[in-house]
This record gives sequence, C-alpha cells and structure tokens, in this order.
Amino acid sequence: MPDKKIGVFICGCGGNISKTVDVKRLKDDVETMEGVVFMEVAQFTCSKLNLESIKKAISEHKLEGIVVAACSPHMHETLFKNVAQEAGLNPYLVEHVNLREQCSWIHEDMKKGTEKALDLIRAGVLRARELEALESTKVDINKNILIIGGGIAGITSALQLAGCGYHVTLLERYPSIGGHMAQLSKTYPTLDCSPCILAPKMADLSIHPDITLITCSEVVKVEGSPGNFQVKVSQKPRGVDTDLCLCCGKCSEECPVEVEHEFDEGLYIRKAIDKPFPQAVPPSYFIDFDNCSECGSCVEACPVEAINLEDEEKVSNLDVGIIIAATGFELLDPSSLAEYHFEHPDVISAMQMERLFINEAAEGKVLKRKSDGKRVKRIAYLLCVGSRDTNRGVAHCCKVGCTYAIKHSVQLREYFRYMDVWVYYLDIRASTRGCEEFYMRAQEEYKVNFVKSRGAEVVPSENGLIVRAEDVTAGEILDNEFDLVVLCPAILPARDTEDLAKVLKIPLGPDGFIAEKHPKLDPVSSHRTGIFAAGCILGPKDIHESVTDANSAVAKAIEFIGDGTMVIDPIKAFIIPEKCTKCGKCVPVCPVSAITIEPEAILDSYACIGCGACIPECEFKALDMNHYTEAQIMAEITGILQDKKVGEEPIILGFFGDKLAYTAADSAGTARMSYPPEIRIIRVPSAARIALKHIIFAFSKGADGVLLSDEEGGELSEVIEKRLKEYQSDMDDLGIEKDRLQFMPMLLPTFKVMPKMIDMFVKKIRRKGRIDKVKRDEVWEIFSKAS
Amino acid sequence: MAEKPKQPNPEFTNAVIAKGADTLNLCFQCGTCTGSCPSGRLTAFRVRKVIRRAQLGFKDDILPTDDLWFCTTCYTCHERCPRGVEIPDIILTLRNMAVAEGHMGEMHKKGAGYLLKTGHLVPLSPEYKEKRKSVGLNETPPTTLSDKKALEEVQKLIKKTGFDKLIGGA
Repeated sequence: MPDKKIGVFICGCGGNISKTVDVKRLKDDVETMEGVVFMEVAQFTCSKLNLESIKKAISEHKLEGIVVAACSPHMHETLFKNVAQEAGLNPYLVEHVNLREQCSWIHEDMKKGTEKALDLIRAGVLRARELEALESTKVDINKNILIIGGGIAGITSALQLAGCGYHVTLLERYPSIGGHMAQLSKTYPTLDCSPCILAPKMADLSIHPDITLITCSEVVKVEGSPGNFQVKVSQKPRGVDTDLCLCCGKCSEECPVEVEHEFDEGLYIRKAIDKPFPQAVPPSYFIDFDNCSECGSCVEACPVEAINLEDEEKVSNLDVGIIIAATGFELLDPSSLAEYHFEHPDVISAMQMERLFINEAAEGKVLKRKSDGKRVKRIAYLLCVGSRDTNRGVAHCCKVGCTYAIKHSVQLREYFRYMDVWVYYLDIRASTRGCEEFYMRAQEEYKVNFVKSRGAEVVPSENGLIVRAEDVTAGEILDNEFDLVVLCPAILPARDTEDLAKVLKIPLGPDGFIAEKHPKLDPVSSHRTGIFAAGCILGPKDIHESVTDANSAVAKAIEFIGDGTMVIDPIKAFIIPEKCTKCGKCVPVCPVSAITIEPEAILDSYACIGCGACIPECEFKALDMNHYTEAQIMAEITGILQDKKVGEEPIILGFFGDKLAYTAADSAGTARMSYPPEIRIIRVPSAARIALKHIIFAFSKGADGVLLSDEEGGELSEVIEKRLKEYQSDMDDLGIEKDRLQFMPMLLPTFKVMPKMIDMFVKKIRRKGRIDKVKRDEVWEIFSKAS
Repeated sequence: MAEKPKQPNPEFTNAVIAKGADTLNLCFQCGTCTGSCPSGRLTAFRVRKVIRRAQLGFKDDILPTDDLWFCTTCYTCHERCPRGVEIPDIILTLRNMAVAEGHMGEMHKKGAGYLLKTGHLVPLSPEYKEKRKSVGLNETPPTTLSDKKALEEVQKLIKKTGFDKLIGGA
C-alpha cells in the first residue's frame, strides 16, 4: 500500500453527528491510524473558517490525500474537492466518508454507531492512500452533423441545424427526400395540404449552402467516437446527373419499361427512368437499375447529356461529430391477415387511398371500383389491421390510424356528398390536440358512421364486399356491404432499422424501434453519446410529434457541441492491453456499447458511463476503472473489516450503486429511519462493478453477509441478477451458504422499504451466526489459488 | 340477464383462470371472435359476451346457459384473436365446470348417452350401413358396434371414471 500523508477532518455537524457518534473516541483512534499525519475535529467542517483550515493543513503538512468524515458525499463532496483543488491537491485525492445520512441519523446506539463510524473512516483512510490523481480531459468536437433519413424529421432537423450555422449532411435512401409525408394528401386535424406545407421546406433544403444532400445512399460503417465519428456512406448509381437534369421528361417518354410506381403505392405505373414525384428534391430524374433494360433510348432523348447508364456505386467517407437517425417507418403488408382479402382489387390500404385523393378526387374524378369501374358509394375503413395484435401483427398501437381514418372520412364526404362512410374501430384514440373535436365534427357535421368493432372479415359478394363484424355495443353481428374497403395497417420500424442500429451500435426496444436513453427524460437520445434520433424511428408518431422530436434532437445536438469541446470525466473503465485476449465477454455487458474488440480492443472513454459492469466479466484482469480500481475497493473492504474475524456481532457489507441505491440509503437517513448498525455501506459506481473476488474477500476478512443494491429494473439489474446466481453457486462450492449474498433492487420513491429490507437481511444473518474463522482463511486461499 | 346491478365475482374468474384459462384477462372486447363465429351467424350465441362474463365472474350467466354449448370449436376465433386469447379452450374449461355442476347441453348429453350405450358419439346411420355394404365391407365396423367385449370394456371405463354420473346416468 502506498505510503501517503493523509489528513482527516471529522465533522460533528452541530450535534447531527456528534450526538450519536462519540467524536472524541474517533479522534483518539483515528490519530493512530497508519498514514494519518494530521487530523482535526470541527463542529461544522463545511464552514468557511474550517474550509480555510483544510487548505492550510494541506499546504503546511504537504498532505497527499484527505478524508472528510461528515455528511453524505452527495451533499458536500464537490465543495471539499474544490477546496482541495484551491490548495493544490488533486480533487480526486479527496475521500468523503458518510457519517451522517448512513450512520448518525439512523443509529441510536452510540457505542455501535461509533464503532461503525470508526470502520468507515478507517476504510476511507485506506482508500485515500490508494487514490490516484486524475484529470478530466478536453477534446475538440467535430461540429459537422450527419442526419440519416430525409423525411419530415430529417428535413426539419437539417434546416434548423444549418440555420444555426452548422454544416449538415443529409442522407436519403430514395432518389428524393420527402418521406411518407410527401405521399399524404392532407394532414389532420386542420386539413392543410401535406405537399404544400412540405415542398417549400424541401426546396429550402436543396439550396441551403450548409446542407449537403446525398440521395440513393445508406450508411455502411461508423467508426470513431462521439464527437468524432468516421462514417462510410455508399451511394447507389442514379444514372442521371442531378446538376444537369432539366426535368424535361423526354427520357421518360421514350423509355419502354413500365413498372409499378412505389410512390403511388403501386396504383399507377412509372417508367424505368422517371421523376420520383412532381415536387421531388433534388428535382431530377433517376434510373431504376433493377428494371432498366439499358436500351439507351433515354440517353438519345436527353438534350443535356445528363444520363449515364454506366453509373456506378460511389463510396464516400464523412467526418462528423454527431449523428441524428431519422429513418422513419414502414407499413405492414395487410396480406398477412388473409381474411381481409387485400388481394381483391377493391380492398386497398390507407396509403393507397391517400394517393387516390391526390390523383383522382382532388382532380375532380369520381372514385371508381377497380374491379368493374362502378362508382364507389359505400366505403368502409378497418382500423388496427395488424396493430395491437400480438397474434399476427405487432403489440403496439399505430397512434395515427384513428385520426387519419377520421380525416379520410371527412375528405370523402367533402369530395363526394353521396358517399356513405363507415369506420370500424376498436377504440378511437384521438388524443392529439384538436383531434377529439375533429372526431366530433366527423360524426356531427359529416355524418360518418362509427362501429365499435374490429372488423372480423371481408367477404367478397355479388355486389361488392361484405364487412362482417360484431358491433360490440349492441352485441349484433353486422353484415354490411361496401364498394371499397380501406385497411389501416400497423406501423413497423423501417426495414433497415436493425441493420442501422448495428452499424451505429445502438440498442433497439422490444418493438424494434430505437431505444431511447430515457423514455421520459431523454427521449430523443440513443444509448450512445452523440447519436440522437427523431421521428418514427423511435416508434409511431404523427407529423406534429416527428417535428417536435426533430426540434428536440437539434437542441440536444447543439447542447452536445456546446463550446466545441467535450470534457471527459476521468471516472471511466479502461483496458489493460497487455492482459486483454480479445475474448469479447465484456462487450455485451456494456449498456452503452462502449467496447469494441476488433480490430483491436478499445474502450471508448467518451461513451463509457463509468458503471464498471464490464470489469467482473474479465477473467484475465484486463479491465479496471479509475477511482474505483481493484486496489481501492479492496482497501476499503480491508478497512471496514479490520479485526472483524472474531467477535459476537455479525458484520454486513453493502455495495450500493452510487446513483440510486446509495441515494436511497441517504434518503432513509434524512427521513430519520433506522436499521441495524451492523451494515456498512460501500459506495460503488454500480453494484455491477462488484465481482466474486470482492465478495469472497469480504467473507474472508470478517463479513457475514453481503448485500448488493442497485436500481430495480435498471439497465444493469439483469446483469447483476444473472451474476448473483453464479456467485451464489460459487459460494456454495466454497462452503459459504448462498443466502449470505443478496441483491436488493431499489427505486428512489420506495426508499422507505430499504430499512426494513436491511433489517430482515441482518436478522437472517444473525440467525445464521458468524462464519467460522478457519473457514474464512480457507475460502480466500482456495479462491485465490483457483483464480 | 341484466335486470339488476351485479357484483363482479373475482373468485369465479380466478377459478376459471386456475383451470387453464390463463389468457382470459387479455381479451379487450374487440368482437373479432363473434364476427368470425359460424354459430353466431345462426344463433344468439355471442362468444365475446361469454368471455366478458367470465372476466366479470358472472358464473350464473355462464354455467347453466345453453350459450356454452353452441360453440363448434372450429377455432376461427382463436386463429384471428389479436390478443391471443385461447377462446375455444376457455369455452371447454367453462363446459367442464358447467358439467361438474350438473349442466350440460342437451345435444351433448345425447351424444354422451350414445357413447355410453354404443361406444360411439355418433350412431351408425342406415345410409352408412348401405355405403359400407356397397364397397364390400361388413355392415357394422369392427369396433364396439360389433365387438360386445370391447363395448363392455368401454362402458366399464366410463363407469369407473364417473362419466356416466356426469351425464346424468343417461
């Protein structure tokens, strides 16, 4: 152990500590501890006067580390760190011992409380001797931003960021930006024209000097770290030079190949060389090389030689600091629900209906049945086709189906007064502002019929299509005949979402959409620093919400850039390269995907959140972490358990995750609750930092029970619970009863159950009795030999 | 059935679930089952309502009624149910409970009577006898219909299991 000069400052906290802890006895005992060259007891160590005295002691006694035994570190740790820094002592050499929230406030027995305080201070002194000076580092952030996906979320983000002076590269998979919003006729509940409000934004984007648009492209690889990513982009051949194309359309006229137009949902045809849609950006034609016969007639027809049939895939490399993923959604193919007969020409999807509104109704044409050309007079909407369907679809609600079906109904009744519109719904979920009122208008003003029922089946009949459904309010089965049936399908993540997530190294939720860093408090951040998301890549959303997301992602991106530098906290895990075998066991445990092992093992300290969960995974001792090193943790355990191998009272060691469990323990103290003083709590970055080694070491040194605690249901609880079983089985092999180790999942609001749970654990250990001294010596010997 | 306000009876609901209807509470009353039900098109049977009554524990509105016995167990509802409610299995569970309390559909009782009497649920009709003869088979198949000893064994089994008592000793 390093021989360092340590100063100890004990606070009585105006009686808050000194009433239940014998400070005088502490003084006598601490003075004799090895390494302690200075000590001081004060009523209020945090007072200005005493802070000055700390500074003075540091410089006069050339202290190499200080221990402040006072309130919880969550209360005043920063204060003492700053004071140390002012006196020229590295702030990471300050150890803060919790004598108040986790000692004096919860114990009434002065003798036991004082013994506990002494153990905690001794642990602090031993830990302080192991502490190392650390420096936070500053790195420059590349201020260029990559946005993946050119729908409304991507377009909004790009325009705003460029407007704030940042350079944006916008990638789009298709030949034009616009996304699904470009396909829509009108938007709810205001009924304003979707292309009319979107096209100006697309045009603005296309001429913005700070936006580089790359269409027909996708991300292939992302390397580097937050603030400095290297992105490899592949651009598929377009066959038409967007700078030269005049959009005269001569190429398309000559093209002999006809294919279904995907923008029109297959209702109409386009040519193998065509414009994606009238308002397309870039305003240029493209060649669909999957269908092109390469006859060359378009090349001949083009007056400006913009066409190149030999066009090839281009790969480019981008350096960006931030990535915003906004690749949106796709719709379920209703064919999977065979009873709705999507193959029938008069059964269409809601998106096809949007195209009919634009291409037929808005142009003054009447809607006709595709099967026989008869006029459509009766029309049914079936909602929840594959949504809220765990059997054959997806569990989640599409969120927009109810309201767009209402919008369609209103549109239909406005275009065609004779139209009889029926909407079959499970629940009408119209919670977006103005949408419930819109629903009422559809009923009252537009006389739309609503049937509370999930349509059971569509039966093709002599005169059209029968929708068979039970009206659940009346308990009657309705056989209702229609000319056209419109299906409202489930919203799924865009098909490449999983591949993109792999490339970006960000996790998905169980529904296949990108997982948010926090669903409430950080809803547009991915789990990886510097990568944000917006729009339907995060789950079903309407336009309003997608735009809100985009606004948020922009704010988060700008917040991340800050002054252009990033301060990296030094409390991070690190790899010891000479010991690493690149086995990869640590990789899946990391909740933020900060570890990569190929081509070389790297722990990205920018991304690392310093939880330490990776360290116990490594059997080669190739991982450790700053400020919670193996040596520091072992020193703390040693300090607490000194001379505890024999005696009457059992000793329980708690390893409490700093953010949650440790805070909950503080809260229990602040609420003046009580639990047995036999427990001593060690503050760790997370309970997942604790390995079997620490637990066995604790038992060998005198602990009789070990209690791990961390966030219930948190990202690490699964790891902790899995390991707990392994640890318990190993303990069993060593002859220590399994239930001497327990995991206590904790949530902040339920901190009040903590004292009870600790009490129960302590009682259980007391019943079991103390571990035999011979056993203690033996387990450590066997364990250290085996590892 | 709905004349007076009723108190839901979770005890009965839990008993149904305990007998294997673990998916009962998933039902959100969308009506897909009734709309898909071939019996519902011909009778007043509304399978969704049976499920709802089971959720509410309205035992007396389920067990003694004819409703339970209208289900043909075609499983179309099971196949289409968006919540994965195992509807026909729940109906079968309810039927078992009904029979245990002495309620059984008339047609089912009749069928069970045939089983006790002949070893078959469906009696051999004269047409089938003719058909068998026309293809060169014996009039009666080599089952309990022509094997007295086998029939006695089946009847013994039926009595031993108490099935004859369940069907009212028919």
